[in-house]
Amino acid sequence: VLRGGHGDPEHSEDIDESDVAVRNTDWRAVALVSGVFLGFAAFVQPLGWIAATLLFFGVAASLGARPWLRVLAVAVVMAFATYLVFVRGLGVPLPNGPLEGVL
Amino acid sequence: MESFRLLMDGFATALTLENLGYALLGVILGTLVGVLPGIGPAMTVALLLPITFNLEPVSAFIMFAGVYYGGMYGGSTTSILLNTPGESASMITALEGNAMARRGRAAQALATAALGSFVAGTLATALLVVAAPSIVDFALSFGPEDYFALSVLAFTMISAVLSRSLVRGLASLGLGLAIGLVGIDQQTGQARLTFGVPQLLDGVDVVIAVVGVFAIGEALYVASRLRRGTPEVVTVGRAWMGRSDWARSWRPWLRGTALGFPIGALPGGGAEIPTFLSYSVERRLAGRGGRPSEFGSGAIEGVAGPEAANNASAAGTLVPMLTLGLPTSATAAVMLAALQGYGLQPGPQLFDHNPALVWGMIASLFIGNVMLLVLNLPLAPVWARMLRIPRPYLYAGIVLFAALGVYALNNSWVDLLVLYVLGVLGFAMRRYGLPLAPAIIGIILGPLSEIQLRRALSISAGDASVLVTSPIAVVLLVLSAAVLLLPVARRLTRGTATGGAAGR
Repeated sequence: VLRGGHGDPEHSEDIDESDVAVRNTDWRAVALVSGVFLGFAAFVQPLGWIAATLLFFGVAASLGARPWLRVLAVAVVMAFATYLVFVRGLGVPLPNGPLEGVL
Repeated sequence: MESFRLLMDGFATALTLENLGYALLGVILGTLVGVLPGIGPAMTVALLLPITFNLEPVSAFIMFAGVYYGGMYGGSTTSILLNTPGESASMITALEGNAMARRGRAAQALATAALGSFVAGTLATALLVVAAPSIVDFALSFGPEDYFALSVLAFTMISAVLSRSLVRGLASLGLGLAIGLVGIDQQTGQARLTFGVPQLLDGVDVVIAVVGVFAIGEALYVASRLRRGTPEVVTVGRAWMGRSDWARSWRPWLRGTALGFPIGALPGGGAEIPTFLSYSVERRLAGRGGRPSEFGSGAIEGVAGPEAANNASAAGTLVPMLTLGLPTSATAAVMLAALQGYGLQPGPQLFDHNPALVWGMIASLFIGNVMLLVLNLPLAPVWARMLRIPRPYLYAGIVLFAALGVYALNNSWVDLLVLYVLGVLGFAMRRYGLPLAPAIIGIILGPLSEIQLRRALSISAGDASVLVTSPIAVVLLVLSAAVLLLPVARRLTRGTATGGAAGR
């Protein structure tokens, strides 16, 4: 590194080393995931845990999950399930948002 | 015999219904995260920290130990069936294990990995019981300067060993130490590296640091280079093996244990070196027997040895963690942070002050090993199915749990921002080939060793020579210097031997 060489990226499990097209960093997907995550950070307080649906949907869709409707359905189920398990089951405080009192 | 009696007390603690439940939960979670790519035991323990603070410390640690051992078992399943290691420690297993699976011997490969892990885990835990008390007796005489020297040795060893180059290891360590500095200095009340953000005054929470670097960093890295399409998983039935497989496996298991435990117990030994050593030993021995070596096309010895070494080194890692408060793997570092979270002082006093915790956890390791064997032999097809989860959903789930765990800490969106920044750091480190473990250990061990350094200096009223007056400290510091200088010296001597013609 000191001699101006560049480091080899780490080998990872879901990385296809052989496909030349994939070897280039896909900055667009990185930006999408980043945007989704920062959006979640901004909206989790006002929206409550509903924002988790958007987080899951956004990340999965940015990584190439399709069709949209199925991704959305899985996201809703995941957010609802984590809410039930962690807030109701384990007593972890998460914001309720506008659905306060409905759940 | 004293430790035998304490161990029996430990079994009494670990065998209550409640603690058995936590052990079972731990090994299931551990196997799951070991099997799944992109998530490992260190991050899982970190995410469990906030929701386990209501538990008894013993129960929490029994669960953590289960996660740690379970991750070692699960990683081998991924290596064998997918040819991509679930954990760095099972990298070697993928070589022969996947070759076996592709020849239709996946069941035998999984069986020898699980049985070898069981044998090695049990033997190494027994060695831990024998070795730990004598190390504690020795360590009780350590002064603060000795502890400081010990952590310096751990830092240099970890940077040198867990990385392809010393420079990269040290760079990673430096990043970790810098993150560990953030917050109010405990002795003078000065705010360090907080950039005027009040939420940073308490420092960067260990949970946020570990989850950010591992989970968010991994998700971003995968986003940058995800392979399209689903990877090919070898299908497998129940794990089993025949008589000849047993005959070929038991010696590699024992040799793997003998390599794994002592190297794992060294500061900075890790699991990679013993697994690699075990592989090369088995390979050389196989070539000697006269019959043609199967190595390269799926030799069972090449799975049995490294898998045993990898589990034995996990038990070895617990020796310095419990006796000295010195973490030598990322998971051990997070467990150390958990001890502090419970207000317990890591170090040799732990055995005196909290015998129920220490021995309950050690006893649960024996129990967890049995549970893992039962879980892994018949249920191998179930774990294999986990590998078919579509990757976008898997990583979306990892990000969701990461966000949940961190947000639940303080209900603060600033924590989520810090998490993202550390995630970007983790992404950049992966992208440019810096190892992650030295940074994690720097974040957690850095502040502890700073306390020891300043304690030593305040005892000596600021005279720095105190650091080199204790013989133990001198030996440890000389060893650290040797670790740093050896590669340089070797390159210099090699350069003169070849007449310096390389011109490097």
